[in-house]
Amino acid sequence: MPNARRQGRTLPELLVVMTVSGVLFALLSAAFLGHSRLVAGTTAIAEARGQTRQAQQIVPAVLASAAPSAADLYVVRDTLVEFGYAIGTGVVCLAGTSSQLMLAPDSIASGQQLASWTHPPRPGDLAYIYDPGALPGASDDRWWTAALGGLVWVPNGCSGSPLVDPVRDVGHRARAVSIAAWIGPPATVIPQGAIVRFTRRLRVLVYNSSGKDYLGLSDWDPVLARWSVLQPASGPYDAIPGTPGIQFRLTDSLGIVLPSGTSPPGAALLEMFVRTRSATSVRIPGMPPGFRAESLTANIALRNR
Amino acid sequence: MWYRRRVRQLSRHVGFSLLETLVAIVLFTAVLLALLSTGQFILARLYESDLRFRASVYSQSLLDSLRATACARLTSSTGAKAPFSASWAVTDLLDVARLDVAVSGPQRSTTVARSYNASTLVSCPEP
Repeated sequence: MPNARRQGRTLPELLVVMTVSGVLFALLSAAFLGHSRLVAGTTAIAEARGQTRQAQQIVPAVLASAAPSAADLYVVRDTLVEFGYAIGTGVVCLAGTSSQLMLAPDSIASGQQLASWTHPPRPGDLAYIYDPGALPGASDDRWWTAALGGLVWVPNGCSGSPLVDPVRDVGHRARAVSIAAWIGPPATVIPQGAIVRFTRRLRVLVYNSSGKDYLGLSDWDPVLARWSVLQPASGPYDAIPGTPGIQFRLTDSLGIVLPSGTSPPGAALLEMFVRTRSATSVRIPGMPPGFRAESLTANIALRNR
Repeated sequence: MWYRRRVRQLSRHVGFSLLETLVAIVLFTAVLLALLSTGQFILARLYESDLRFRASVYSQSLLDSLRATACARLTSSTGAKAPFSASWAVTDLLDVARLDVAVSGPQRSTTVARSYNASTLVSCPEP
């Protein structure tokens, strides 16, 4: 009987336990709810900020080599920057004619790199050929500009050039590049050792999809005579009717805003305005509930000096 | 005999008393609440990270604006863009100008200041 008397709990004991447990459960539930809202909110904010950062990184990176003074910047509008994107550099291994140039192999037996590419050249790309002239100094230096025609690999194409070793570089492959058209006056002779810079027409474009703005990249395919399929680069950005989520604006070296459209050579700075908004409504304790808007202005100096 | 005595001892200790369970629940809840109350810490880190990013973009933008400015118009000066203040110095090194930008602003929601510096050289041929 004494054992039986000790089994179970009294009603007040159970009530106390249930009350304490209930209070603790309520506290925990509130804390969990607040925490889950915090996690969801910070994630939404971080994603929106991440898109801002993406735009801030991508646009300066692709524009790094574009020089308005070299006519690399073609068109700038509030949602479009069209320019010559540097795809690589090479060296002319043998003096060329006005219709063809021979590029040294990308690397030679000594390990020296004579060409560097982010994208291999193709017909339609532009070549800027540096002619150092006959005089010392830069007084007679100039750049020739040409549109590329066909490109073929030529075994031992640079034989006889001082850039390749006649023994160790036997069997090397050189790129023979035909000139489709000269932009401006044609070069009469392309000097041996001339540095060649190659660019491809590229668009950084803000486009709208499902009511949101995105940043995309597309390059010009001269063979098919059309822009390549737009490659999404970052987004979404906050599109307000009449005001895109990303806007571009050009100014000159005096800070004067240049008219939208075809780029004048005096462009010195590209201003970029980016606006993002959290994908979901944010409810973080201590912050006003609602969609969180973020904006950023970044200035990108264009290569002119 | 010894076996039955051991079983009796063990049976007396099986399970937990109500008080023990209650104390365990309270402790467990306290620990969970402490863990869940890291929200302010997370928010502070988020704010701080955003401040750092904005300060670096601001200093880089200032530097790019200076790089894009005509040499004749390059001068040392100050500026501000909430919550940051900035100063920049232009040093003439004959055919080159050295540009130094310093941006300072709060490190967190408190007023602890932090500065961000950026420098570059630009070609400015002497006339």
